Amino acid sequence: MNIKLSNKEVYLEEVYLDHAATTYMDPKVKEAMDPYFCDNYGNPGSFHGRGLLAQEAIIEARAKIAKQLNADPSEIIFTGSGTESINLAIKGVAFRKGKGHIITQKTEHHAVLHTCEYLEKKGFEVTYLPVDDFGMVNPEDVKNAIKKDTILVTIMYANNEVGTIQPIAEIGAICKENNILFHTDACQAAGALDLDVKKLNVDMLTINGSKIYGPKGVGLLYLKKSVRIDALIHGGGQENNMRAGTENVPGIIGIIGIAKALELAQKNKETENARLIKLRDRLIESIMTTIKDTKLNGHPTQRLPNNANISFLGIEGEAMLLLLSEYNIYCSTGSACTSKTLDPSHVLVGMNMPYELAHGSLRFTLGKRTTDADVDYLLKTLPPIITWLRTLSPIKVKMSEIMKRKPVSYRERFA
Amino acid sequence: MAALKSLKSADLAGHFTHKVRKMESINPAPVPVSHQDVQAKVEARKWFYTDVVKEHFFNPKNIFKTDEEAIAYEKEANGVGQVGSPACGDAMKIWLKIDEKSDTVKELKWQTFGSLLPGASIMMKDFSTKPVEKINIGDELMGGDGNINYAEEVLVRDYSGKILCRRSISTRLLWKNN
Repeated sequence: MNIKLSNKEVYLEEVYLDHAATTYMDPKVKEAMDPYFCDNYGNPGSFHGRGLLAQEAIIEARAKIAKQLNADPSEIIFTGSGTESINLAIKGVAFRKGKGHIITQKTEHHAVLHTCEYLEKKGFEVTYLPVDDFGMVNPEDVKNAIKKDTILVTIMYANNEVGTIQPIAEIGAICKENNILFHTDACQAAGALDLDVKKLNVDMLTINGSKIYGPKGVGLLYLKKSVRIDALIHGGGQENNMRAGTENVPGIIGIIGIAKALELAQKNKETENARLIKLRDRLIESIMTTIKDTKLNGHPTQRLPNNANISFLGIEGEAMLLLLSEYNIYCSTGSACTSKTLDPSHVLVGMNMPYELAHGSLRFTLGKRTTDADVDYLLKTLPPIITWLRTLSPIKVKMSEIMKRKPVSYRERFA
Repeated sequence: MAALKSLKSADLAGHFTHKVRKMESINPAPVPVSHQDVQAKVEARKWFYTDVVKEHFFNPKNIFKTDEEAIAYEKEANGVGQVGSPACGDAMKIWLKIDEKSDTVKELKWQTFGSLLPGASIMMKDFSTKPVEKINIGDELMGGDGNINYAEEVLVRDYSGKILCRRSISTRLLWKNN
C-alpha cells in the first residue's frame, strides 16, 4: 500500500476524504450493472421479449427501492441526477400551481437556491429562512414564514458542506398541518440516516446515486401518490409521464445495487455509523487540540457521521487543499460545485461566519474505505502544513477579535 | 506508516525542493479495457494550474521563515505595501529594501493569503522571471501598462480598507514616512 516517493517520506497512496463530493462505486453494484450494457440491452418500452426483460428488471428495481423508502413502487421516479430530481420537484410544483410562495433556507445546495432564484424571476415569491450559527433551521421559523399562498417548503435533510442535520420530521409535520407540500434533498443523508418517508412526513424526497457508492448520472425522486406536479421533460411518457426519455437501465440497476446496499446499510447502519462517528470525532478532536485558532463548523452533535468541517484562521482553503493533495490527501474546501469561485461558501456565510474563517475551511468527509491509518496520516501531515501557511500569510488576526466582530453582509463589505 | 517521519514546518520548504513527482508513481495501474479510444484517463494531470505556478507554490522564494523574522524585517524595510483583503479571499503584503542611488530593489520579501486577482497579477509576472536585485522600481514592478492610479489604489490599502500611507518618494511606489 505504501510507496516511497523520496528518501525523506513515505506517502500513503491515496487518502480520499471527499466522500460528500462523490464516492467510488461499490464493486458489487458494478457487477450487478454489467449484464445490462451488452447482454440485456433492451429498451424497456419495447413489447418484444428483449424489451420485456429490461422492463422486468426496472419493475424489480423500483419495488426494491420503494421498499427501502417505505413507499409504493409507483411513487418512485428515476431521473438523471440529484439536481434533476430537485428541479423536477420544485419547478414541477411551481409550474403546476402557476403562482405562489416558496419557503427554503439559506444553506441549501445551489440546485435548490438557483432554481428558487429562477422562479423568483418568473414571478414566484421565495423566502430564504436564516439558520443559526450551527446551520440549523428553526421549525418555528418555517411556521411563521407560511403565508396564505405558500405552495411548497423545501429544506435539505443534511447539509453537504457542514453536515448539519435538519429537523425534517418536525418541519414535515408543520407542513402537513398547513396542507403545504414538503420536499427534502436527502442526497447527503441517504447513506447514513433513516429514509422512511412516512416517518419523515415528506411529500417529495431526492436521492442521488453517486453519493452512496452507486453510479453517477442516476437520481430518483420520491413523489407521493396524491401529489400532482408538472413534468419538465416531455416525450415518450416514461416514468409515468413524469420524466420522458429511454430509461437508463444499467443506471437504474445500479440503483437496485444501491437499494441492496441501503438494505445492508440499514442493517449495518449502527455499526458503520458508529465506526465513522468514532473516526470523525478523533479527527476533529485531534485537529482542534493540536492546531490552535481552529473552529468546528456545523453542529457539534446533530451532524452527519462522516462529516468534519473545520476552519483554520488566517489561511486560505485552496492552498491547504493543494498541499494536502501533494501528499495524496484529497479533501475539499466546501462544495465541489463551487470550488472554482473565489467567493466564500454561502453556507458558512449564511451561518454568520467571519470571512477570515469562511475562506479557511476544509471539509473532510469519510466513507467506507476510510481507516484509522488514513486519519493518522492526515493528523501527521496537516499541522506542519498549517504552520507553514500561517508563516506565509500576512493576515495576523486573533481568534478572540474575529469572534467579537459583528458579521457584515456581502454587499456591506464593498459599499 | 512507521517510516513516516513527523513533519516539521521548518523543513517543509526544503521538503518541496524535490522536483515535481512523476505522475505515474502515484496513479493506479491503467485499467485494462477493450479499446484504446475508451481507455480510462488514469494519467490525467493532477495539478490544475501551470507548471510555473506549481514550481513557485512548492518552492517559494524570498519568504520569511518565522513570524519574528517578519516583524524584525519590517523595521528595516524601506517600503511596505499590502493589497487585497481576507473578505475577498486574497491578500498580499510586500516588504522592500531599496538602493536609492541606483533606484533598484535590493531585497524583497512577501507574504500571501489566497491567490491574487488577475488585475493584480502585473506584480507577480516579473517576480517569477527576474532575480529580485534586478527589479527596477520605475518600470518592472508595475508591468507594461504603467497604470499608476490603479497601482496606488491597490497598494496602499490594508485589508480593512484603511489607507496605510500616502507619501511617495519614487514615482510609482508608496513608502513609509521615514
